[in-house]
Amino acid sequence: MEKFRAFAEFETFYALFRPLTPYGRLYREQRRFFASAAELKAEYDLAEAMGAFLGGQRHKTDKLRFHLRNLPSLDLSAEALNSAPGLFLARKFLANAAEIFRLLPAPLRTRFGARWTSEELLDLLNKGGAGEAFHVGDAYDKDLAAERAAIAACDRTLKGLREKKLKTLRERWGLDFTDRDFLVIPEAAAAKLGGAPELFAEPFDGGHVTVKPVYGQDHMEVFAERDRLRGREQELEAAVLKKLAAAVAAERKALEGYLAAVEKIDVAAERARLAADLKLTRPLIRKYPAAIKLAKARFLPLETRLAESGLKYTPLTASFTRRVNVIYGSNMGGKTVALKTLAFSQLLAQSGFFVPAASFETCLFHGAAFIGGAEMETAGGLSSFGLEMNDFAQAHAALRNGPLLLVMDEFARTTNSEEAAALLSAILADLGEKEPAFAFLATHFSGLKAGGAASFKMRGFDTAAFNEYFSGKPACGLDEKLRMINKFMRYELLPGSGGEEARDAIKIAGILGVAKGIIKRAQDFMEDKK
Amino acid sequence: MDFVKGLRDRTVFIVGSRKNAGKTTFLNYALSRLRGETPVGALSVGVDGEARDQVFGSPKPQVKAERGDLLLCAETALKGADLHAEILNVYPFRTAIGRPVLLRALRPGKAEISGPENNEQLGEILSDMRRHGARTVLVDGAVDRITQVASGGKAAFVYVAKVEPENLDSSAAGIKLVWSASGVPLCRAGEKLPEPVFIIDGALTAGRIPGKDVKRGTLIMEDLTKVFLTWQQWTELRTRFELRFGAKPDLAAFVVNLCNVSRQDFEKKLGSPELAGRIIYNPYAVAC
Repeated sequence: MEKFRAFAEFETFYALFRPLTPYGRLYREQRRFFASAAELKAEYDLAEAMGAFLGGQRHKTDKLRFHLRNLPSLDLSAEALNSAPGLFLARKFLANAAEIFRLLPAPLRTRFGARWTSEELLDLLNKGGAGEAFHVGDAYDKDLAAERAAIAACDRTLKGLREKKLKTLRERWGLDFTDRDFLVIPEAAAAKLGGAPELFAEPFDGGHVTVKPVYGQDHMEVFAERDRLRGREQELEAAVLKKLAAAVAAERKALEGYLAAVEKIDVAAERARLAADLKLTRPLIRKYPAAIKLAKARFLPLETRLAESGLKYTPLTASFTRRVNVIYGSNMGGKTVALKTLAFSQLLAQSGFFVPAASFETCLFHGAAFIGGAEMETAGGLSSFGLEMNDFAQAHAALRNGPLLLVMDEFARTTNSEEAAALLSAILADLGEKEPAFAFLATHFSGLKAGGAASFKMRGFDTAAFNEYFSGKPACGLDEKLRMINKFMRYELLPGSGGEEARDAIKIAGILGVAKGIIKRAQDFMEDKK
Repeated sequence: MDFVKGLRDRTVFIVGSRKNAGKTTFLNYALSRLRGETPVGALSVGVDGEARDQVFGSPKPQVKAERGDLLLCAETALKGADLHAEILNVYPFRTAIGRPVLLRALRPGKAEISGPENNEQLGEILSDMRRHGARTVLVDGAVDRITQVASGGKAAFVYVAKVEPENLDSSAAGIKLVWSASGVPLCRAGEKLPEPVFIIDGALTAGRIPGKDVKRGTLIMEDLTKVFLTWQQWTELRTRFELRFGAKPDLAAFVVNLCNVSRQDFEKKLGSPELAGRIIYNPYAVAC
């Protein structure tokens, strides 16, 4: 499956799928591939319903995204809940979940399983602060309020005592401790202090002394009292935390329900956003085996790249009514892109997304495999040919598990054409007999015995239009050459070529800068052969 | 001019020449000077095991918070903490000492400040602090975290050094290097620079300086925190190359705590009256 995803350049799309909640992000990591029509329908229905609700309502969309983004991960363990940070997160989770649910109309809430029953719990937690803030507030326990008032009184007394002491030190010794806990003074100056009891002194270095105010017995007593009060306050806070944690834990089942609903809402909202932004269409899923039909299907990664280069992109329209299909075509004629478009559309559809196409009809597969593109690879001592055969053997074995979408690009191209054609013909015949196989094979080998396979041909190079435009003008630079090929290559899939050989390679070679003399000789050889 | 007041409304990194240079002591001093109509924020990055305070050897550098201060503390440091505060955010990223928690002090108290583990997290926390009203934020430590914040503007750093006889030469060289580097201009788009132009991504170490056969040209470095050269290597570099930085936080001040070293001896080592004029000596020292 990973090779199939890589061939389809699925990551370029998946990178755009950015759920906002921690739960949506976890869902994203699962990389679901739906083989169940019922599950997939549920995903599509939710995305469609969310899309219909949000459609064009910028304010609602922004508000929903705001609360989804603010929703934290909830830890329902006893240890986490029994702490102020844990309760802060529980409150933040509930507050945002409540807002998210409130935004949705009742029928939509029902579809997402969002049933809000925690108003009391949220009210209880809201006693801990206004807005985003949370703490174990006085409202939870009247004794807390009393302890805190006593601590505040201690703080006032301590402040008064400190100010009085610092004033004395300023007036008596000229030492100003404003903004400083200590001062560093020359040793000679320290000597003049004569061991003043209201100052604590210790050496700083060879010539300086550090002095700190000694606040005295009354200050120490108030400080000790404050410590005692703080200890008592912490005991009361701990008791409140315990009660609040128990209240949250008692609603564990409801919270787990919210969590599941939020994940669904987040994923559906993100799918709806992508559908709107990228103009995606809901696929039509039929029972296997069924025809795969694409109308104006866009392979988004290529569409984007071509748009960046100012080149035209041709969407793919095709109808594959048989299970085994062979696509013939010239070099650079778009065979691989046709396969990629199909693989990309199918992956999106089975991952729960809508598809960039005017319409996309398909059936579901248990898995998908790609074989090809191994020119530069070697694995475990296998040559590229060996690797392809190994991949095919594995895919063939996987047919036992259920319907498999098999995409083969220029299979066996690295071996001699005679044996390759024989091997391909045998494979096509075999796959035709295997009900779970739905195969697409792109090749420029002619003369395959395709049996019951459907044949297609990329329309290829438009020689007449090229000759009219070109009139002997040389193309300069690779960009211009590519632009020229793009301009005159017709990336359209025509049915029923019957294995007709493509004849564009020499023209393409000429455009790409192969010497005119060589091109001329190649054309002469072709004439002689005829 | 009182340089501490110049730190108002900025994100200020307090970086040290080494551990126990006096960063946290200066942080507390700056906090008490900068409190005003809007809350101040404090966090710490890269304190990594600085277990004892410079002067009094107290076990951990602690911040003396006042009501309204915004502080970043580790989740594990909250239990039994002296500070009474409300929680403004709990960040999802884990550090070795638990999740960072953004707090607003509800009354005076002491707090052990903490920080995130990377620049992205730091950016999020600083933005949160500003959203909650902190216009001045002091960041204790980690010079290598400056770059990201510098790119947002209004970032400055204070370089704190403790100078003792045994490190007099190296401290003076370190300060001279920072001073010299802070004078290197930012690279401007479209600027005509002597060829060849070398762009150094990441740390500039002696091994990455172009060979002696390259007599001239331009060297563009990320920022001054990525310069890991001795004073000698730096001065040699300046003679050969036009230098530029990609980002540059403002150098607000040098705070130097002299210990058994006279000001005269130290300034002699600096060898620059202009640089000496930028030094703030022991802000808690008084002449009497």
